[in-house]
Amino acid sequence: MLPLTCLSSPDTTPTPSRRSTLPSVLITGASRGLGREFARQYASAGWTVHAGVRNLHQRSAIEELQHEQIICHQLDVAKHDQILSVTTELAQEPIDLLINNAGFWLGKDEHYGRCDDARWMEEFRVHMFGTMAMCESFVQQVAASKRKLIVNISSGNGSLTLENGIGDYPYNTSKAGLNLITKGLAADLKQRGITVVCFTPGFVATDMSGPDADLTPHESVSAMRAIIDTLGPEQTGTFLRYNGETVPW
Amino acid sequence: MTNKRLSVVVTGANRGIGLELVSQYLTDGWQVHSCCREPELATQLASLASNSALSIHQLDVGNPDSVENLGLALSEHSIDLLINNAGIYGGERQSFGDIDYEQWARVLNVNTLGPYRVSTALADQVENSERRLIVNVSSTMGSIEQYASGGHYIYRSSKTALNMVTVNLAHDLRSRGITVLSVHPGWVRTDMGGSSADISTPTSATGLRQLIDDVSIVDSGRFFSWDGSPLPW
Repeated sequence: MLPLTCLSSPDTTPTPSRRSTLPSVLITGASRGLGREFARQYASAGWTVHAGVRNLHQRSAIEELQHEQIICHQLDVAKHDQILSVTTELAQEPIDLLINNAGFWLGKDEHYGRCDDARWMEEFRVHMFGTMAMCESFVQQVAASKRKLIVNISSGNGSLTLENGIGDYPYNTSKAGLNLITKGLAADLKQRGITVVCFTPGFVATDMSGPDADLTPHESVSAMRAIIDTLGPEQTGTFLRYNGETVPW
Repeated sequence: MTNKRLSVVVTGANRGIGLELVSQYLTDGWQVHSCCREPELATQLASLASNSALSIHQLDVGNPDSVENLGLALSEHSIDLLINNAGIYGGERQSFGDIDYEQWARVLNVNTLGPYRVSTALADQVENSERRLIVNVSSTMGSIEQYASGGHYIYRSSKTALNMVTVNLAHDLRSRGITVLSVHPGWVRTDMGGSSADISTPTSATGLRQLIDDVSIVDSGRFFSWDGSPLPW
């Protein structure tokens, strides 16, 4: 296995020959769960993978991303300076697919009468502001690519109709807000030929959901990748289950 | 049952739809607890204060301490109807490529967390009333289904998230007999809506009062327009 490539400064960009031939994907929250699985699968499929991780110095998480096609970037989407610095690093790089996957769950305590204001706001900052800031910062790179796709990883909990996981105010409101943002981005970025969708990945066994889940990350991500391959302007602004079914708002 | 006066709490009562609702409920003989950030500047509200059924409370729904104080001030009252009307738009920088993130946080704190805070602070008093209603003043701008044009991200997302608060509160308060709604007041000629809007504040408030009269617990967790028609999420 080749040594892990980790960019720490803008002067170590990948070679032009590689970026001109293969599609590329930028994934936030790539050190574990679905994000890591997306990175692994796209890298195996020959894509150039830019993996945004919150802690570039946490070796265990990074080492699991070890693959010649994967380039890790220090990226906490709640920190605008970090977004800007990755944008600078990748200024000349077309991004075929931006996957806004970074997210977190506060745990089972954030229920009626027990929601902490600051932690609730943190959910907004990561799920909503982080996604918007990534799209604002990388819109040119996505528009300059061949595929022009933005995928936001939402949740069934963000559906006002399904009422999944009801009672979790911070998580549910931030994912509903993310879905609204997806619909707005679809309209705003249509003229640039960019397709924007949000996905519910299913109930996947990750650090966030625990072991009692229905799907492995491999199954969920494989299914989403198959759907992502088929996406075009006619799907923009939709909310999709990992298997491609439409989810009600 | 005694024929005690019905009571309503209205937040953001110093102007616009809030002020009109206060005025109409007073005319209807209700006990009205009106709330606003700066009572000393609320001259139109003060002009209604000769009516002994009106009380005025200082309240900033974005401030947890302020909401807690309101809960204490009203702890001995029953509240038939809580109208979470206070809301802000969030300024001009809401377009793609020019988003004011600090303003976004501020708007979510007021428009989304505010109604949650006031509802939890007053839920016991609402439960101890006859009507047991909580009405969140949302907007069709928060409807994802109807969002076709882009832009206005700050305001729109705060109302979408408020609708999700409505759905969650409806679920959590159902066993206590409390009905929770999101309502769209219409595009109303107010400071926020501007002078070219569709309907007047009295038309909106009259429609909302009719809707509020007509709903029951089976409608809890739903989204209605001021004219009583259901709205999509």
